[in-house]
Amino acid sequence: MTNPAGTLRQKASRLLDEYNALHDESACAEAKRAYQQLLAEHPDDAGLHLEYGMLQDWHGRRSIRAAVACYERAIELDPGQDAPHFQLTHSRAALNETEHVIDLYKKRLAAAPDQIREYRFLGRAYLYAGAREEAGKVIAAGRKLDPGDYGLLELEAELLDASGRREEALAIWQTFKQRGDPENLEPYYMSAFTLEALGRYAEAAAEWRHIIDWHEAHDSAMHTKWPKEMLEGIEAKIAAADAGDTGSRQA
Amino acid sequence: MNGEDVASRMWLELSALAPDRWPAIRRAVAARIAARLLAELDGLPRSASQLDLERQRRARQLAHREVA
Repeated sequence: MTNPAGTLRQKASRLLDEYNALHDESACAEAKRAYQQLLAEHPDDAGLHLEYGMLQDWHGRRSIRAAVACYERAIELDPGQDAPHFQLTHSRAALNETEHVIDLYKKRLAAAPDQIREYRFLGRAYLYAGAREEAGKVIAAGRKLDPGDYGLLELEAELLDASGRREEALAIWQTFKQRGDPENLEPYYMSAFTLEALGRYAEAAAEWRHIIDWHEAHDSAMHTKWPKEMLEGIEAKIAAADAGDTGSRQA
Repeated sequence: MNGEDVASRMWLELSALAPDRWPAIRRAVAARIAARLLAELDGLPRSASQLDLERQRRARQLAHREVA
C-alpha cells in the first residue's frame, strides 16, 4: 500500500525540481501548497524545511529579477528619476549581479561626464559590490566636479561605515542633520544603525525616538512599526548592559 | 583650507568670472575627470566576479538535483 505522505512528498520534490528547471509559476504555487501541508504534518523534518527554503529562495530570486525589469523600464520611461537607479542597484546586488550595474553606470558616466548623478550611481554600484576602493575613487572624482554634492557626501558616509570608520560616518550624518532637509529622515536612520554598531545604545535609542515622533507628527503612524521594533531591540540591549553592570558590581 | 575647499572656491570664481563660457569649461573639465577615472577603474584588478558567483550558485542547484 502506498504511503499517502510519501506520495505527497514525492510530488513536492518533483514540483520543486520542475520549478528549478522550467520556472513554471503554477508548479511553484502547487509545490508551495504541498510543502506547507507536509510541514504542518511533519514540523520537525529537516529535509522538508530545506526543500521549502530552496523553493522560496528560487521564487524570491525570480521576483527580484522581475523587479529589475520593472526598474529598467521605469528608467527608460522617465530618465530623470533617481529612485529606479538606486532600486536597480539594490536588486542587482541582491542577485549578486553588481557587474551589470557597474558596466551600465561606467558607460553612462562616459556618455555624460558632467552629470554628478552618474558619479553617485557608479559609486553606489561599486559600494554594493563590496568594491570599496573603487567606490572611493568615484566619490573623489565626483567631488572634483562638485565638491559640495550632498549625494556624494551621503555615499561617502555609507562607504566609511562599510569600511568600519564609523565615527567619521557619524560625523557626516551629523552634518546632514544640521544642514540638510528636515524632512529627510535618512541621516537619523543611518545614525541609529551606526550608533548601535558602536555600542552607543542610548544615543541610538534617541535617534529611533526622533524617527517615531516625526512619523507620528506627520500623520504616518503606520511607518512607526519598524522603528518601534528597532527601539525595543535597543532598549533590550540597554537593559542587558545595565543588568551586566549590576551583576558585575554585585559580584 | 583643504583641497576640496580650494577646488570649490575655484569653481565658484570661474563661474562668476566667465558666466558665458562656464558651461563649456565645466563640460570640458568633467570629460577629463571622467576619462581619467574610468581609465583608473579599468586598470584595477577586478574583484571576484559577482556574476560568476551567481552562475555558480545556479549551476550547483542544477548539479545537485538529488537534494530536490
